[in-house]
Amino acid sequence: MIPTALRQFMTSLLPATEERKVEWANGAVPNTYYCSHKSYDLHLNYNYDEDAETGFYWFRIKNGDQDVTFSVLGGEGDFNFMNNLAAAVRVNASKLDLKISDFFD
Amino acid sequence: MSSNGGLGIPQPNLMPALQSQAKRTPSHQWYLSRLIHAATLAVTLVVWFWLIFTFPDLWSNPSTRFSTVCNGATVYGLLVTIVELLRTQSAAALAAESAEGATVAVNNLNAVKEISECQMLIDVALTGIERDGAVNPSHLVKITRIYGAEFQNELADDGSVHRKNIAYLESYSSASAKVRASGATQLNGRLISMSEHLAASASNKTTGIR
Repeated sequence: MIPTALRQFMTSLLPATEERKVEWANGAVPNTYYCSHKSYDLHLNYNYDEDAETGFYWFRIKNGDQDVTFSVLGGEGDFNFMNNLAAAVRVNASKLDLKISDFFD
Repeated sequence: MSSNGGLGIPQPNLMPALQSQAKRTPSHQWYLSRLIHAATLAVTLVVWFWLIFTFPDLWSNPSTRFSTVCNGATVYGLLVTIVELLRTQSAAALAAESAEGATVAVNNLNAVKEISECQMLIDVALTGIERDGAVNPSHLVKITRIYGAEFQNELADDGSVHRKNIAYLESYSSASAKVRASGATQLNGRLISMSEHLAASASNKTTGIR
């Protein structure tokens, strides 16, 4: 689950991602994304845990020597929020929202 | 070093950097020549004779002759002392400057060694991608460590290619082994870009020394 101290940050990250105040990029392999903003590096991965038969999100916040990771497992209350964040991040990284307005032209 | 040769890593030639240390000659510091003492003596004698011819009183009796000779010797001694003082100071400054240059050269040598190691690891990683499509994350950790240390200034800028390269490699390391085995896009390109940065940096370090 999302650590309580970072809940406010994560809540603010969703609209910032949707409004493109931060830029995400696709990572090296599918379902990995990263964002370099000021001195911070954020990483978001989606993985599937075969033993637990559930998907989970892995999040990392790195600022120089400060390095924090946490996971949100499927079934946890925060999982829906992470789904929404991941969707926003995917759109942000693909830059699709910048082009799709020409769909109906 | 010979073990690196097989991997096609360019070995930087450090000799120009070290040789340039010895080439610096203090041609602008006139007082460093040993001839300066002879020149000082000549000038002193010319002035001394000129004074005696201009003011004959200086050579009128044994007492004044003695005092004139002594004064001339004193002035010459004083000039020798001043010149020697300048030479000592200058030699000390030159020694300090050379020592500083040598320290920079040694530090650069160490940095270049690290860069060579990093380039070798990048080559190993590229070979791994070629062979079985995946890279050992422990290699990537070492690569990001050396690369990060080398480009600290560039990493402060969140839009720099260097910063993106590191974040990209970290996204790869953070993925599960199974996902990594499915192959990565752009990983080759990123690693080659990093290798290019390192090569440019090594080249600056070996030719940038005065």
